[in-house]
Amino acid sequence: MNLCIFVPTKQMRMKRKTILPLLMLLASSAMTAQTYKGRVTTAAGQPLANVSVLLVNEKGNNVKFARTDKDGHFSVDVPEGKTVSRIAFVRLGYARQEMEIGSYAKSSKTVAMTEQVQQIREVKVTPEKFRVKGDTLIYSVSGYREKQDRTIEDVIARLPGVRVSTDGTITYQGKAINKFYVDGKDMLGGSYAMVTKNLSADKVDSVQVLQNHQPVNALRGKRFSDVAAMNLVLKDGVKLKWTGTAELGSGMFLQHPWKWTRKARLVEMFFGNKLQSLSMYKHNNVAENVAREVQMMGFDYSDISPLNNIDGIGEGRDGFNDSHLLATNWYTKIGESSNVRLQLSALFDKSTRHRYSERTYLDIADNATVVEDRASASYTQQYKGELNYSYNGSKYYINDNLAGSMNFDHSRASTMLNGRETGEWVRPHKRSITNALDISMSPFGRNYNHFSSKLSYNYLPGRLLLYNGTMEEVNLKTLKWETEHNFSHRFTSWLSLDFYSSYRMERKREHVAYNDTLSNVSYHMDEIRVSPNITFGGNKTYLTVRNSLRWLSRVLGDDADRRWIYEPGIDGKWQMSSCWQVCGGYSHSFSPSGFETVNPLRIYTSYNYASSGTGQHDHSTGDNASVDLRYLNPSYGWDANLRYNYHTNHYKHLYESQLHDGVYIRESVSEDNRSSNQNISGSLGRSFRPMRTHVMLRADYGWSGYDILYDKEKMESRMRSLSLYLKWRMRPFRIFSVEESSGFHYNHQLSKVRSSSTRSFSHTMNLYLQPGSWQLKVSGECRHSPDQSEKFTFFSDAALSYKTQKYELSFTCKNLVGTDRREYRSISTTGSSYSMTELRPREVLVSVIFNI
Amino acid sequence: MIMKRYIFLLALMNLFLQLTAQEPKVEFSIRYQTYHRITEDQKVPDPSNRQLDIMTDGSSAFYPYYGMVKTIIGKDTVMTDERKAQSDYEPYHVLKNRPRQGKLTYTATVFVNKFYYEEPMPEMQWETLEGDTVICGYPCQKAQTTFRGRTWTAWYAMDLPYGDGPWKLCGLPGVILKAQDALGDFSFTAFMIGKDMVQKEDCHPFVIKGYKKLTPKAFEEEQC
Repeated sequence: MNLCIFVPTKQMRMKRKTILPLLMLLASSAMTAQTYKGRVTTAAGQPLANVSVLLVNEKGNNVKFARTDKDGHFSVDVPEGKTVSRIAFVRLGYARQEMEIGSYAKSSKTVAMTEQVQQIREVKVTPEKFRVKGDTLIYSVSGYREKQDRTIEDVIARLPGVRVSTDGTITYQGKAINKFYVDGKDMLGGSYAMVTKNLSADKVDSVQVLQNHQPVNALRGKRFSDVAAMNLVLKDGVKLKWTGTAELGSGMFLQHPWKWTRKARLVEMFFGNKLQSLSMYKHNNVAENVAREVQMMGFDYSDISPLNNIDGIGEGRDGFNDSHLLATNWYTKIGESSNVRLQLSALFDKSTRHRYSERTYLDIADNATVVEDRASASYTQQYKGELNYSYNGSKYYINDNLAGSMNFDHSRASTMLNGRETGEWVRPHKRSITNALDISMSPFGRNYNHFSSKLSYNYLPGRLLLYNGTMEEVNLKTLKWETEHNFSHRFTSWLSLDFYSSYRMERKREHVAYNDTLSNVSYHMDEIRVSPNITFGGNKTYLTVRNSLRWLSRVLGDDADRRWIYEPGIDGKWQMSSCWQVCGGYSHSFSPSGFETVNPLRIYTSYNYASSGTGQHDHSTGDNASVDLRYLNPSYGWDANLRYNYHTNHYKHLYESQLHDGVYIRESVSEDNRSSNQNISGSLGRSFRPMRTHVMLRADYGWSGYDILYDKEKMESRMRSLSLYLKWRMRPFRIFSVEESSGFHYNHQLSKVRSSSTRSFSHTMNLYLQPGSWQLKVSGECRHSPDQSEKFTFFSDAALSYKTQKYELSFTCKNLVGTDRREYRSISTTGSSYSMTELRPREVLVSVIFNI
Repeated sequence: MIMKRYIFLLALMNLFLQLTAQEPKVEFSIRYQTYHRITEDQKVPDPSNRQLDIMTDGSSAFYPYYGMVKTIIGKDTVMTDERKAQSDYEPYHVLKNRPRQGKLTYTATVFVNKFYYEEPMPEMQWETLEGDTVICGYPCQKAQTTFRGRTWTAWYAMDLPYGDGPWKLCGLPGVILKAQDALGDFSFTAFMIGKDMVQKEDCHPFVIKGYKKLTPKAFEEEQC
């Protein structure tokens, strides 16, 4: 630049002569386009070069800009069709100057700038913490993970709009997800907790929530789904090689009953392009529940009450278990769009428990109470297998799922029933096999055909020792076949017709033997249903009108009942914006009473509890209406929803109960009656950037009315419950974070003869101190009540661990204060109870985890 | 005659100044998440991180930042390594007003050979557009230009009044925090702004010693 000094030469002067008229021409055109000229200097009057001269419009946006030359001169013209309201002068190291364009035009057109030291605001944004791509929300793990999070489940639970319940079920905006993928592959079907509870968060790059997910390729854009799915995107280094986790721990009780505790875990995982596998062995006797990992997560589970588990105390406090779990899952792709999945698992468990309870039934006069002091031991042996084939092409979809399970359980208890010593023994075995076939076809156009057929056979041979020393033997065999065809035609982009037709069959045969009584009962049920549904609208906003016509035939012994049933319904969703959504619906339903409630045989389901049905066909009719408002804005950390639900039910039976010497027997009596219940619940969550704060508030209020039979008279009973829940977390310093949750639970029951209520509070607090590779976790849990419905209970735990990329060493001490029992009162629709459970004593555990 | 001598003197002085000039300090740095599409059929562009250092003397350097580089080679094979940046597919550097004022220096390494070329600082005619956003907490405004056949859209921060930006992009009244071309082949998005972000192990090419000078055309041939 320094060399470039303007020296007018002869040629240039010549040129200038030709340029001059041109310039004049330009100037004349600029007259209409408006040009602003001027000069910028320092405060001392020295010319200032490289100043940005900006023309700004009313909204504050730059319309045009120019720079001053070395003499401080500038010329900037207004682009055609644009209006300018202000002119601004900007240069680094000088204060910004801005003025009205009108007052500038009248001024001397020389601007003096004063020096000013400018500070750069330093910012670090984690690259793309949250992104949206069409219907997919992409949450980066590094953006949401806290240092104390170990498994990917811990991170998933922090995502806005996502909840993970204690059994591992993931819900997104109140609805359980319909598929769980790892790198786009559905290896685990319904038992995805195996991956979420065992995969280290270090191995996952991002979690994707696929909204309105239609898993069938052939139906994408044709059949809408308002359920979301989840996909884990793995880090590059994890793919195409075997990874895993090995954990070994040992410890002991530091109080009576002095016992050796242990924990072992071996998990193998492989995530390839064609093959995925996950196998594991888990063992512990530290009250960690391994059974739920091989349970099917309820895909259609609707999260009505958000506070289901408020009564539960923290995991690992009660129960003396000894569990072993073996599981293997294999997924392989055959060709471009088909795959095979095989899942096998075996679970062995022995659990002992000691519990004292006093139970008062609402429908029995004289406040009769059943007092039980029970020390039980239960043994579980469960084998499960699932084989799945799926072809997911662009036009056809075939899915066949064969699942079988065998349970060989038994349990024993020595019980003091109302001061009388009784022995308990039960052996509820179970075998089941199910095959489900789904076929979808959409070869052309906007139509599709969907066909599904499900055949299942259940065999439940059970033996139960009764209070009087006799043995009850119940064998129940059930055969079920459900087949459904669905044809859909889309007339226009906003109108479509779905035509469902289905056939359902159920055959049950029960054989009961006890006290020299031997009886058999058989139950046949057949149902044909046609249901034309009309949908207006598309994926985001729609209204569906459902009309269902059923022909139902039921035969119980010699008694037959055949009838036509009409069930209308309407539901809709309105996606007001990408953040706001409202959905609601109404439906009328007819539910034939289940076999268990109509079966006239008196069947004991526990050694001192028996129930029998009327022996006549029975049903209930109900009306259900709900409305649900949701708001989700992950970029600003907002997450809120409000839900109201109304349900009323008419049915034709009530139970008449008797209590003799601690044995409760109830019999169905025909009686017209109704019940209604209403529920309003809401939650509000917000994340704040300062100190990585998150606050979540949930409230749930429900009230219901129902009838009971009290002394052969119908009596109205009411129940109200309120739950409030507050949860927050914060990281004030890089090495210190805190998580706290508090809950309040209120229950009130009112009938003509009795009124009772419970109020209780629970608090949990976790403190984490995490300098470098170390982590110290101190947690406290407390329960109390203003009205003795929960005895003051306090727990405290501490854990110290050292974690590197490859391994983690930890030392855990649970129940530091040595609280040995929990006492509380609870209320249910049928009565109230007081119970006392023996808890695990103070214990220590040393463990090492290797991440391979 | 007098004029010629005057120019000569000035040139000499300039040379002297350049030789004795102290290494300018880094005023502040910006890290960009960068996506490059190398081949046309590539669906997902390759990501990498690059850093722009803005100097106290108005010059700048744009170079690969090797903190967390991810390299994707081929379709499925994936390599990750914090320090594997040497295998970066295109470790180019763009130096603006460096080492000479008014010039842009572009360096590249092909196998083991290091080349560079020099060209005049590009003059981009930016057209300001309606639209604003916030990037890294800085309010940004939108602008568009056509540079060497490509249409670029950029968001620049008026609170950072430097006419600089990623790659060769420059000439706006604020630093460009986000830029992308219309075809989606290239994109740059700032994710970190701060001081003292220069790391020793990073390849900070202020010295072009050991690089072979080529003309831009010859450079292109060398790259192929």
